[in-house]
Amino acid sequence: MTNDTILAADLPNIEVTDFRKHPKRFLNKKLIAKILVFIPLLAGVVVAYFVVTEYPWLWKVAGGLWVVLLILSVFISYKEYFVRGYILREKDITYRKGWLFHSQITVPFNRIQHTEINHGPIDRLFKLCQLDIFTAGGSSSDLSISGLDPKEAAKLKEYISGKLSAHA
Amino acid sequence: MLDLTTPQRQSKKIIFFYLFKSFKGLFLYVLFALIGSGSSSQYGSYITMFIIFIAVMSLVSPIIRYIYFTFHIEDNELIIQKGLLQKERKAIPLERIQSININQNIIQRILGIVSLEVETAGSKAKELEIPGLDKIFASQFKELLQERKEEITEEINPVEVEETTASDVSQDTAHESLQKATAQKRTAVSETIILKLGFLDILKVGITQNHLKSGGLAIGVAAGGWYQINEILQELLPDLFKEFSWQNIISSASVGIAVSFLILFLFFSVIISIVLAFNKYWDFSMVRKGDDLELKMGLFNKKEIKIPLSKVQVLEFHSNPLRKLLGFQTAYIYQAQSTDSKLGSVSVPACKKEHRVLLQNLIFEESIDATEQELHCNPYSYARLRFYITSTVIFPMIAVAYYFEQYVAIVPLVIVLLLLVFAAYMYGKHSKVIKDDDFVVFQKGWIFPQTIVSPVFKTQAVEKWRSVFLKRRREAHFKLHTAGGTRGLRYFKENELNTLLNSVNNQVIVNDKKWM
Repeated sequence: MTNDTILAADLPNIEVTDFRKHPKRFLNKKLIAKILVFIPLLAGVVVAYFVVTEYPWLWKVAGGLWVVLLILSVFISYKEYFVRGYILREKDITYRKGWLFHSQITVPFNRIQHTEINHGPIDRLFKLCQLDIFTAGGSSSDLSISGLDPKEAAKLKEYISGKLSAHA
Repeated sequence: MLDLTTPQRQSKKIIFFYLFKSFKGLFLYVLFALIGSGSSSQYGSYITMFIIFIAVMSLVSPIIRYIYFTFHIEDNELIIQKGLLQKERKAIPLERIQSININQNIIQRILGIVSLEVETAGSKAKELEIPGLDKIFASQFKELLQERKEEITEEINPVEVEETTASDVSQDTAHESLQKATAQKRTAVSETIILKLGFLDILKVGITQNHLKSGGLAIGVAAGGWYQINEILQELLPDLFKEFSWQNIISSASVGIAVSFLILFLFFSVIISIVLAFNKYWDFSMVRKGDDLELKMGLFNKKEIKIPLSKVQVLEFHSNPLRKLLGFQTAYIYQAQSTDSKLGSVSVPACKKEHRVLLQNLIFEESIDATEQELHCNPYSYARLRFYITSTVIFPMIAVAYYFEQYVAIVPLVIVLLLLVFAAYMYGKHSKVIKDDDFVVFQKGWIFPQTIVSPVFKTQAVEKWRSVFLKRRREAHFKLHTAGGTRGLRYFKENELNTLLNSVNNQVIVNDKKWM
């Protein structure tokens, strides 16, 4: 056991290269979920094609819009996967996400209230789960790391809980 | 000494309070009854019977509510039980109590009762309100809760050993005398008045209020009342109204009428501001009592608020041009709050510079001294964003003006656009973050400047965010999450922001002071 003096200035800075990516399954899940969202919208276009026969431009515009939006959202999901990641350090956790709107948030362990592991039905299909980390700063500063491998998430939770009890 | 080991009821006057509340609801039913019995004789009697049933219920229910509302202290928990059919039991551990407030609205004032509000800061909102207590009982109750709470926390932290082995309810006399001694010590040690507002001060606060806001209120009321007044007038003076129409008014409107309307509007706004200020801040006093800050204010709705100093998370100071002339600022004190709490902050009007320093030293102990790091926003980024946003509205309007060949209209539109962009630029120019060893200080705004002070060790998390368009410009926004809410500023240089984030975070890691 060591008990070195820690000075704030001596602690290392967060380096960009250290971020740990999510498993590839997460990208697949995101893409498939996006497409699943878009299929019902396609029905609208098909209905327009069959029902509104006197204005053929309508379904063309709707279809075009559908294709453009689909490509855009798939593109964003794809891009997002590569910037999403976390760094677990000895005393804090940093998580970053988002391509269009990118955010990077750092929570020290001595400010975490509790942690939770959640998984929905689609998550389970892809063997993924979500780790929620709650702070006292309200919902805006709560971290939710989605798309983790269940084993990894359990390890993470255990590690963080260990750190929490050390602080309490 | 109050004995709260057995369940207690509220003051009997609460029945009238409940009665008044249900009368407000009953009024509608009576209206229905009148309409219902008048319209159809067949169903009318049923409706009337139903109404009578409801009326009786609303007379009886206050008594039932009074009988079944009890509170007591048991095993270091404050317990409230209420309801006859739907029973509810709330328990709050005494050591979790964060602040105890005494409020009084106008009806409670007439009846001579007050409501006691107990707040906790948990992840789940858990609040207790006892709406009808005698004034003296309430203040004794408050003191008792406070004392018990301190006893318990002392027991938990054995650092300040005061030989408190007798933990249970005050039966033995030695313990009681000890309690009395500590209570006396507490009141004797420190009860300093920080700020008291007199008539003139409140008048000044009222005059320097944001008049646009109260003016908007005035317009809302006037617009609501206009139709009713209009109808009455039309019945009384039908001849006059034949010639009266909006077209006539607008066509005959001259600059003089517009100006007089403006003056009238301003006049009423100022009056309303003053009235509101008097209602809110009448008899305002802020007193430090031991480790708590006690605030009292209000004319019709009286408020007594108790804030433990250690629970304060963020201090804000707001100003405007009029206040600046007087040297006034409004301070806002933000506590750590349960998520759904309506009581987000406490405002302290008419803070002079010395009050400000005093308040800051009091709440956060250390004073701001040597600046270590200063981050300025990029004003051009603010101006650019404002330009994009306003031009989506202004440019179509210019196009419309051009289409209808109203070239004169283009000039004011362009002026508005330029003014808005300039205001954004100035906002950015006057905004910065200052961080020293103890505090993160935000300075925001140009015409309505704000200073936000947050101790570094009370930070919960730090965040950096940006849109993809900012990545190219190497800029990012800063967010500081605290238990009293999130504060932030936009458009910083990314590398400078990174060092700021790292230094805040590292300081939080090293610091083992309790943030609450």
